[in-house]
Amino acid sequence: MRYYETVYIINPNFEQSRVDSIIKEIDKYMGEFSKVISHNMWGKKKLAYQIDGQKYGTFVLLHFESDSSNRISDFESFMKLSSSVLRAQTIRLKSKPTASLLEKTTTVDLDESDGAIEKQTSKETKSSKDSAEEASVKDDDNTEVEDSAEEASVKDDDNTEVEDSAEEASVKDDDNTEVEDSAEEASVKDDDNTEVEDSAEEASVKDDDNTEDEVEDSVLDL
Amino acid sequence: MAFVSKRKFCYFKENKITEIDYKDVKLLRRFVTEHGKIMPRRVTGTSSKMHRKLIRAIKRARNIALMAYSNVEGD
Repeated sequence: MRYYETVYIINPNFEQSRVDSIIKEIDKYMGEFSKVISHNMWGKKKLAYQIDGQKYGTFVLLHFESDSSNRISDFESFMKLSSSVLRAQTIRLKSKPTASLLEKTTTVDLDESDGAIEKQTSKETKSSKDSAEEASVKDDDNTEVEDSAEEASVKDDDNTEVEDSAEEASVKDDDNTEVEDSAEEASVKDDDNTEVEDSAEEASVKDDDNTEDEVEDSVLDL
Repeated sequence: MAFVSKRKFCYFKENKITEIDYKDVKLLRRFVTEHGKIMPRRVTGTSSKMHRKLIRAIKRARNIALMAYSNVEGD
């Protein structure tokens, strides 16, 4: 037997009765090839990003077990095509879901009771989202470390600054060596110039020799 | 590699957590920057096995809109 978990999102504006009818419809579909372990509404939460223009969504959690794994893809496409379900995700669990997994709502946003008051949950979700976005002070050490990690920033860890400056210093040193190299190269070039001059001198010497020869020839001719 | 990891311990090993639930957004948010990007392993100090599980959980949570892909607000 394989154990699966599905989370899907329903339009938040539906009343509880309509949500119940959707749940029953999916239960009926599921009953053909699988056995439903638990299927209940998880709560109304604020979405991390808009889906279909909706900022909130009603989350439903479904656990089931099945042997016919070929029907799972049919189930996924059924969820995709159905107009009332905004998004669905099915994952396979390694083992039978324990009672604690089914009952507990693991996020801090929701209270333990599934029928949590919507206003409270939405307020909590908003505050938690804000804190996440601002990387606020609340959760003490971890967020500070995250900031410093991200930016290699000034706040806490002086070591990062030192190391960065060490890197920069090493880069600068390389520049200095390069400068020296170019100076060396320049000196080499100067040597080349002198060599050029030498050859010029040699050439001039050679020229003198040639003229002397010519003079002698001309004398002999006479 | 210039730096030694600032966090010398794996969070999951310390707290003896073996499985990561993608619905546990409070736990997952510790490993994500304020912009929503996943922090590298050398920064968080997580072991490689748990880091792979963590990545899978974060991506699943993003898919089902429990976590954001990016927190930078576009115009």
